[in-house]
Amino acid sequence: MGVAQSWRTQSSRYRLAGSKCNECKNYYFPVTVVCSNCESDNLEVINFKGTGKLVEWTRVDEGASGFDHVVPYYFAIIQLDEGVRLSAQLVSVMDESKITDGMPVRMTFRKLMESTREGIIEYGFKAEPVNPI
Amino acid sequence: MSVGIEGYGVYIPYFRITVKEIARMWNDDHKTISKGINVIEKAVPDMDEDTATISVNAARNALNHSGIDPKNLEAIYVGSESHPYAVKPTAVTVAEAIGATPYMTAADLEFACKAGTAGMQMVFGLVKANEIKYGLAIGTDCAQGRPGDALEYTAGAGGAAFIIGNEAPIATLEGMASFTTDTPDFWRREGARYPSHAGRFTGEPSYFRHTISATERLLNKLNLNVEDFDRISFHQPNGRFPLSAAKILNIPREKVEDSLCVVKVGNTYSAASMVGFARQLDLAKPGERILLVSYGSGAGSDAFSFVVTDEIENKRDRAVLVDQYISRRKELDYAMYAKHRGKFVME
Repeated sequence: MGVAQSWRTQSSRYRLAGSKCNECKNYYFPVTVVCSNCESDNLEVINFKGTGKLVEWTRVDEGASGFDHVVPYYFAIIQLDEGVRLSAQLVSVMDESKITDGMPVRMTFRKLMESTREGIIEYGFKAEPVNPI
Repeated sequence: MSVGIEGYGVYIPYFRITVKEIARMWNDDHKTISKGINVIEKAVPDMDEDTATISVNAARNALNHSGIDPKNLEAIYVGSESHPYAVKPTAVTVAEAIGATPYMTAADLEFACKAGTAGMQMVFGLVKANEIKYGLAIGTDCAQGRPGDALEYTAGAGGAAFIIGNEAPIATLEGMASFTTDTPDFWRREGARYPSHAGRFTGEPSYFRHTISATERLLNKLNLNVEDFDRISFHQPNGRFPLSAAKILNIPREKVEDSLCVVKVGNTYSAASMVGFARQLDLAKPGERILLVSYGSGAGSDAFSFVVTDEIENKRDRAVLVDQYISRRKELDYAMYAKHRGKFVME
């Protein structure tokens, strides 16, 4: 991710900024300008609360480029309390056998990527269990 | 209403390495070391945690506790000796992540382990001068100790955030005082990976002289005695120094013991005295008086006197307790610890 792109997407990564349609009340993540449900452009930017539940998860043992040194890690689909789904790394897992679908999670702030030792550090949200497991 | 703490929050990573495991690596006697420094284990950041992430998570806990809108924060200072960038402030990442930008001021501070309390002093000054309504001061570190060095047994990770204002404080500020000299007990040169220290010199002319002098200065300023304080948090580079400082000042150790998070999370450097203060607030009752004294190598100490208000009970259920973070733990062996702390040269 380039510096400009990183800066443009900051609000979604830092604060879980998304959109709420003021006509049909649908939520979107990340920010969008047209509601795909009712086609309205009457949307406002909101910050999601950052709490939700685990829908699905997997353990990654062969990491993507830049993540090969942190394997194994967990990747998950999260449903936020507002209803939208997003994907995020699942962190703060002490015992993998205790990960359960539907368990409450919240978003925490972590480093996402560090392309080079001298480049920009990308920060953003990751999910963690609300109750330590 | 007087100026004081509107809310606070801490964050401590959940990984731990024990003194026993580090001693195994270096063929040291862990019982002797653990007893000597009064530390059992220390917190280790995850591979994707640094001073910025810890600061953000502590700040979010402080915001929840205070109940204030982040847009009302007009100053954010982050004190640390492990800022992720040499040039680019940690404080702006914190400000952006908690939604406090753009009408505010921000800066990173450095003064070894007392940069966090230096931030508190600055915010207190701005609020007292009616320049701002609320400000946020954070002390955070992901401390590095050279492998095999005595510091490796204690160099931990953690952060503490304090929101300061004069609306509904849980503890009001009675006064503050400092003691500062050029005393080279601990340093890290530009570009150096690990800090250096002057061994035993870090004790008598450094930690004790500054901690005790700042405390005595504050007591004189406020016309108080050590008996007037119910709870105390001194800087805790290990679990022994704060108890020794208490003994010199004729303070019963019971008044200090509740602050000694260092025993289970290590020395969190800029956060250390502030995390201890947060734990004292977790346990405090209205009307109690708390003494907070930081120490930063180089060297200086900042001392503060607070009186807990009834408001602490109203906000109690919103606090994430320090003990919740201390009890959340997963042990690492030395190899995984070395990987977490980037001690392997990969390129």
